[in-house]
Amino acid sequence: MKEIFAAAANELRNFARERNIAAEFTFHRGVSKLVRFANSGVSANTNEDTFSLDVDVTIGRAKGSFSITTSPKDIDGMKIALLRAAEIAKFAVPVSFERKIPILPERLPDDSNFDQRIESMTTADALDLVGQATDDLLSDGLSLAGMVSSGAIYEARANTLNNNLLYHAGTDANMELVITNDKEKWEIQSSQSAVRFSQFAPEELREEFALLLEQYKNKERMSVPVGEYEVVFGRDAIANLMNYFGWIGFNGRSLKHDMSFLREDDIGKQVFSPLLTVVDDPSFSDTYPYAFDASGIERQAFPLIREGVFQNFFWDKETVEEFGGEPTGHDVPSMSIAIGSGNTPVNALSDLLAAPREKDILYIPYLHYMGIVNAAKGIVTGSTRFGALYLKKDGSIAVPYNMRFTASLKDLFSNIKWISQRRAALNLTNLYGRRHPEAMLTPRFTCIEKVPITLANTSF
Amino acid sequence: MNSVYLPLLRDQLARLKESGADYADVRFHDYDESESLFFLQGELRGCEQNSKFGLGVRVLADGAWGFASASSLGDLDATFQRALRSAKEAAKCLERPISLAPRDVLENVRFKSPCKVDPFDIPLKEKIEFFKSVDEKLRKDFVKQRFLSYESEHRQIHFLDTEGSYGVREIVDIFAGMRVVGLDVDGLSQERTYNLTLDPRGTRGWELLRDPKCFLDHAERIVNELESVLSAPVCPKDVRSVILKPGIMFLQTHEVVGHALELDRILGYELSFAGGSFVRLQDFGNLRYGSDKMNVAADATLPNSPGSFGFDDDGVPCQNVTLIKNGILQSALTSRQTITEANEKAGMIIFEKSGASNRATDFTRPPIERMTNINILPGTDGTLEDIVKSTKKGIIMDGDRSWSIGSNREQFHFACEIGWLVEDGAITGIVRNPTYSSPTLPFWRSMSAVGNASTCELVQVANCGKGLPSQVMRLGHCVPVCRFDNVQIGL
Repeated sequence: MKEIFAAAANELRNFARERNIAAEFTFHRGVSKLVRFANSGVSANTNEDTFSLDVDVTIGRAKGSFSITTSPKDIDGMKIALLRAAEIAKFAVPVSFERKIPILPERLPDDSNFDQRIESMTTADALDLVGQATDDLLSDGLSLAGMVSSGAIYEARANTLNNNLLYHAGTDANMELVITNDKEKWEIQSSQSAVRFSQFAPEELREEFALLLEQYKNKERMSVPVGEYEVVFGRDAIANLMNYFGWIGFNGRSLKHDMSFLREDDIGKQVFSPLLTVVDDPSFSDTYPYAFDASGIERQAFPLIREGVFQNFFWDKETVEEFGGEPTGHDVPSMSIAIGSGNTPVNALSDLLAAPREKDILYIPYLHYMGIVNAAKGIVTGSTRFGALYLKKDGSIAVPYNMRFTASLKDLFSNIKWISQRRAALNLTNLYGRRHPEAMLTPRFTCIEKVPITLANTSF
Repeated sequence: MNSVYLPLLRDQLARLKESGADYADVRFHDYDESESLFFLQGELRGCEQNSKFGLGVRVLADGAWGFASASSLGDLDATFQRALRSAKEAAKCLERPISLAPRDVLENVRFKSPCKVDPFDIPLKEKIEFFKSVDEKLRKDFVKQRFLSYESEHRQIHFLDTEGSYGVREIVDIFAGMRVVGLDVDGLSQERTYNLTLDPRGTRGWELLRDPKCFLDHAERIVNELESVLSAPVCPKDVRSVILKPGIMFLQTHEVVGHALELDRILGYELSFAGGSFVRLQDFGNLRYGSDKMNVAADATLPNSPGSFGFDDDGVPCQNVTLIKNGILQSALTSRQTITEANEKAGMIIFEKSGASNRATDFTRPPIERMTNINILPGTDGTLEDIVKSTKKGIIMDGDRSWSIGSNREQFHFACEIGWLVEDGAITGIVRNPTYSSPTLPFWRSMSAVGNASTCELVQVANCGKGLPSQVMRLGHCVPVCRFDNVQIGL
């Protein structure tokens, strides 16, 4: 694919230079396969192969953009896209700050996380993995739902300032399975993210399902009284919460627009629990990292929170152009967020269930449909889903109906009691629009005190 | 129209039948343009146009679906055969073979959404000048951030299937919004927003933006309301009557009526992602969803809305379906596939025919059940003023700030942009950070007033997300002012 992008970039650059057009080109090809399961069968088996080109033309401080989704061989269509972007730029009103096309450095192709085996995954592969994870668990009115998603992206950036081409290619896969009880309307879930096919370990999902099923089939159901609880969040829930930091926390653009709950004078201060360390680190290959950003800036480990002390906001190119400062290599479709591990030897669900308890605690593995109640205060709300448990002080276990919590991120992450030793990558790939894989490295469990449960269902 | 491709597509469909497909359809986008503008502080920050071309092929073979899409027609054979192969592979893991309810063949049907002035015929310069004039109205000392957004689409979609159907839809959509942000007395951001609403009997081209009543005139109102919010006290934690204006009533309807009544969710097809529904098949015709005042329709025959589209991606003509009548659940959002399965599972005929709700966001996705225009029918309780007069202790809310819903749509939490407290039949003051939260059924059953037609607005939704692979959908909600009693607020 690199050669096809390079040839197209050459043609387009020459075409633009002949017309004195200053242009940037972003090529993207996404090849996607998704096998979806519902009611114990394959409900959708989809294949997508889409190529697109984004053209940005800059005239002084004005910019025009045009995107085209077409065949990678459609050079004529791409040239028309360039001319249309140039036409838009002519009429676009200049902004008040300097806009610069970056001088792209020479970079080696960023394709070390490409696995041919994942790119060529078949329906049979998906069925085999799912079978290993769930076969003979699906009895007694239980059904299978979920998906196995796999694919590859090929991306390149070029512009008219020089002849360099930044190339990135990678593969990603995610197995996210749900076992449902249609009659009682409860569901349990387990997932696994993979950069390479060999990383799939369906027996781990199976083990987790078996343990959760034992609870969900046999234990008493209960509506949890509203109030404050000690909550052990699973990796999915904690990743969901941490994701909001990228939006209304660490993001320099949000800060400048008064949409961040963190302030500039929080830098260097103990804002969170000393147990919390968060870094954006592209050396973690499980996070589908980018070696360089869209301007060619080499991505390096970027500390965000160190032992509870807030370290940095991240800054994209346009925010820096507008407000000053230095770009931090964050013009990327996805970051490589990693939450530091702890020292508590609770690394599997079986460990958690067996651990002695000083009081009743909640296990919340997953949060559904969260919303930001107040961005400036970092208040979020969400509901539990998929396999929550009520772990009683006396060692017994109950199955709670879904409940809602509403709390500030600052409070939640200041009240960390313990973090497990083991971490795992959680796939966060958004399957809307263009394929852009994303994963976060999160501790298996994070225990947080004083979590306010504000509403509890009285049935499933 | 690229009619040159149609014989090729028909030929490919015929070959699929010969190769063992029970049914197949293709959606071909031969013209699909969109444009977006984004202004921040009066500056044009984003100015983008987009052109798409491609096709999506859906095949039913051996009782299972397969789907393939491509942005190139260079190798049609490969795309069509990939879809067939995917169906046959999927059939190896099938609990229940899929079958489609019968429908009449679409015979050269053409649908065009109503539009007087195609937004793509308006010079960019005029568009920019228009939005800069709106921005001028938003400029005040206390307004810290001013956002304006605009998006339009013009697409032509051909639909062909192996049952002999052919139809083409030419759809023009236009969305515009304005948002102002200021800092309140505690130094925290507050916002007020307005998004372009539609006249359900009108048109939706650039002419809408030329009419000040539709967009420009709202600038002054939201700025004034923001100013009031900035110094207002925080919404109390209380239990009160909640009066929802259309700016939040549409979302209330969307999240816990519309989504809850998608038949694929009810049948468990979204359990691994978007969620299920508290509604069960045995509830149709029986469940008291809301009070007697609650009447809901899925009306895709409204002349002017993104939720009206001529025929769905099953090739079924749009309809007006009664979902809830006098508070009792009647029907759902349905497709050819799901009504067959639902009737079979229920052991009785619940759904006589598809309600034409099967839609895909574009050619890269297969269709799934989506909302059309989910409307609360107007009531007899008069205007907003009339409803306020009859309210002992309440709060009016407007503007969707955040939403969070239980996975079976059984409970919800909404945060709004502005609230007006009501005591003894009169508005007594404005509050900031208003929120409300409730289990779904008790909420709708507490519906105690429904405004008349003069209180209705048709609110467009441009970003309804669902499905795997995920897709967004455009639709509408025509909703009046409504009141609900004994609701928890301020959490």
